[in-house]
Amino acid sequence: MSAGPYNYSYIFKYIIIGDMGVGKSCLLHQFTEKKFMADCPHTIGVEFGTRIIEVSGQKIKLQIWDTAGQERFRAVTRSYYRGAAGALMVYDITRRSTYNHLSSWLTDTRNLTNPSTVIFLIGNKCDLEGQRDVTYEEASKFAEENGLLFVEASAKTGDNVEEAFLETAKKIYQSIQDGRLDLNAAESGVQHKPSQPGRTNLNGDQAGVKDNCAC
Amino acid sequence: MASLWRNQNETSILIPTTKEFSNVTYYIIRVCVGEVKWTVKHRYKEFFNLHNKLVADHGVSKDILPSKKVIGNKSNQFIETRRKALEEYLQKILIFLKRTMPKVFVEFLDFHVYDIYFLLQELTLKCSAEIDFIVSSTKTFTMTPLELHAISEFLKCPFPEADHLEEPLDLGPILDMCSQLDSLIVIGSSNDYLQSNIVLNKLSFDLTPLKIHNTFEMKNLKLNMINSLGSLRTTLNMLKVRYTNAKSISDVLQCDVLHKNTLEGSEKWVGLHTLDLSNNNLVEIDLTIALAENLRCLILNDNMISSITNLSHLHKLEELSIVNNLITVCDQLHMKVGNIKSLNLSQNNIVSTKAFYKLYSLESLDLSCNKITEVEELKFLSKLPCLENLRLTGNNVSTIVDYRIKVLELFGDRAGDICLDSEKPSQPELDKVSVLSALRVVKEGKTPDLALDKSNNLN
Ligand SMILES: Nc1nc2c(ncn2[C@@H]2O[C@H](COP(=O)(O)OP(=O)(O)OP(=O)(O)O)[C@@H](O)[C@H]2O)c(=O)[nH]1
Ligand SMILES: [Mg+2]
Repeated sequence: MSAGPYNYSYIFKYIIIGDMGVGKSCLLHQFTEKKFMADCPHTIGVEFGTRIIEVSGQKIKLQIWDTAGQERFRAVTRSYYRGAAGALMVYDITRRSTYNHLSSWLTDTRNLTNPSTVIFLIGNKCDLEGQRDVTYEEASKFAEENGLLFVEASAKTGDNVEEAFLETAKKIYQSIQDGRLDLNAAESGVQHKPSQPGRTNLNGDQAGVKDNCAC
Repeated sequence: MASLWRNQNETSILIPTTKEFSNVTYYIIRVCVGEVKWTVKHRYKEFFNLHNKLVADHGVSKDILPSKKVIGNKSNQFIETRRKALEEYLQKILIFLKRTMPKVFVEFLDFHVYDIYFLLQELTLKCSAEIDFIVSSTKTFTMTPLELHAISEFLKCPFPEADHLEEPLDLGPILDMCSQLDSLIVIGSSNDYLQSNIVLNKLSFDLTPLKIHNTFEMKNLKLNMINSLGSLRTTLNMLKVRYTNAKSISDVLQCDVLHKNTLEGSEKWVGLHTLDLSNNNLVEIDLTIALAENLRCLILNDNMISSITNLSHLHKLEELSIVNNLITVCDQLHMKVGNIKSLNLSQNNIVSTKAFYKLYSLESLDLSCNKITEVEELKFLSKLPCLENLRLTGNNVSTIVDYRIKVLELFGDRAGDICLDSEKPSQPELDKVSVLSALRVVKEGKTPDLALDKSNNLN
């Protein structure tokens, strides 16, 4: 069969950033495969994953760029911020240094993405409560001060992983609905794909109405 | 470069020979201004017309032109006598008119083509006449190094000798027009310029007086003849330097820098988004490319580059073209160029697509005319999620039986999205692809790969 009409109506581009070893690749794997990858090697440069989700009845394809946290790749991974609609900024709640570096990750994100990019802060490895090095309150305050969405999650148990990716998408979708995000802007990180040729799903009111209506 | 005003006493005119073109005798006039020489040819009739105008408007005495003769004007002896007489005539006229240089005389001897002052006069007229049109249309203007050299020379030191002219030269219209241009093109040459001994590429010029805002393009030039290319650093968006003597990127981006082994913040080309350095002698992409940190498009076609290096700091790079170079292996490209959308490596010596397997943002890949022979070497492209345009013509692989089907099959469900060699797959092709994949599944005893469907159903 040919590719024909797309089975989703939007593509959102995400990046996952943060220090090495905080669990970026594991979060992606958990999200796309529903599995924990215990022995995940360091990412070299970049990895990639996709999944189709649904927000307000709209099918949305997430294209997720998982960047390498190692310092030596910083130059090349910076290029991936361009055109990201969502940025998941990850630290490891058991390693304070990864939290301390957030401000520099945030600076990069603000400098290299556009104002409408949704930034979501994830405190990963929350299954390791005993080794906690950063309190929930502290990180939560940091997020609030900087206007970020925030959860603590675990790529191992899957806690809050789904939520982080979906909340980000909802926020982006909202921005489209109320016109804060311009679909036609070159670097918006969002592409609109009409699900049937010659017929465009215009706006939110239409959402949820399936394509095969028989009128 | 000629300057009558500066060489009043070293200016001479001779008519050394004659030449016949389609039955008409032309007198070959040789003008020397200092070191500069050029020739112009005119037939008698043109002398006659010139003379009449000079007599009427510039007080030249009527009787000094050798007279007309209708019959027997083809004999060698007659022509020889006339040649001498015309030579004397021009010499007399020059002495008489060299302070005032009326336009008819200037144009008769091509001073408006080769002489700084008269050439600028001509250019000024052209600019005044065309400015409205140019500024309201392409905003593009092409100049020769000669014109730019003349502008530089004139601004360095105007010509007091010419102040008494009826309409002394005023560069206003030229500079005014240049300041409103989007794009200035300069085309040089290493040969003699027209009928003169002027070599364009031996003329230096300065770009500072011209406020170029957007695009500067040069072709066939010697970089060392351009002063203050660096003055364009902050304003230029697009720079095209083609067919020059540049051996390295540093020769261009650090043209005005003495100590080239370090990069200084002040050397950055902040506005530059497109850089075209095609047809030079570059052997590598050197470190200095980082000075153009905002580049979106880099074109390095027709050089001698053998590997892709030093691009990782160009975060905005979307388009890279290195056609017709010496690239054989490109290793782990995703660690070198990251987020690029369009890559053109046509006409190199690439045998495999392995290096591209993680260029996940790639939308367009041109590998035409390389050395890829096996379909097997293309499988690394099959996971690129955004790829839409793929060109492979001119590789051996494109001549094998069922080439299109085999390549398209690599892309599985996405086969329909791939425009292969500028052609979208036809329905019969897609049907064949489906049959082939189904057969393969049966042969390998696996259930079809559900990776995609699975993700659809996850919710
Ligand atoms: N206990 C626990 N371990 C985790 C969790 N997430 C990741 N890990 C472990 O942390 C280590 C690093 O995880 P990765 O996902 O490879 O880290 P990364 O951020 O992708 O690292 P780079 O690719 O180098 O940037 C691995 O050994 C994982 O098993 C988690 O939620 N809980
Ligand atoms: Mg990783």
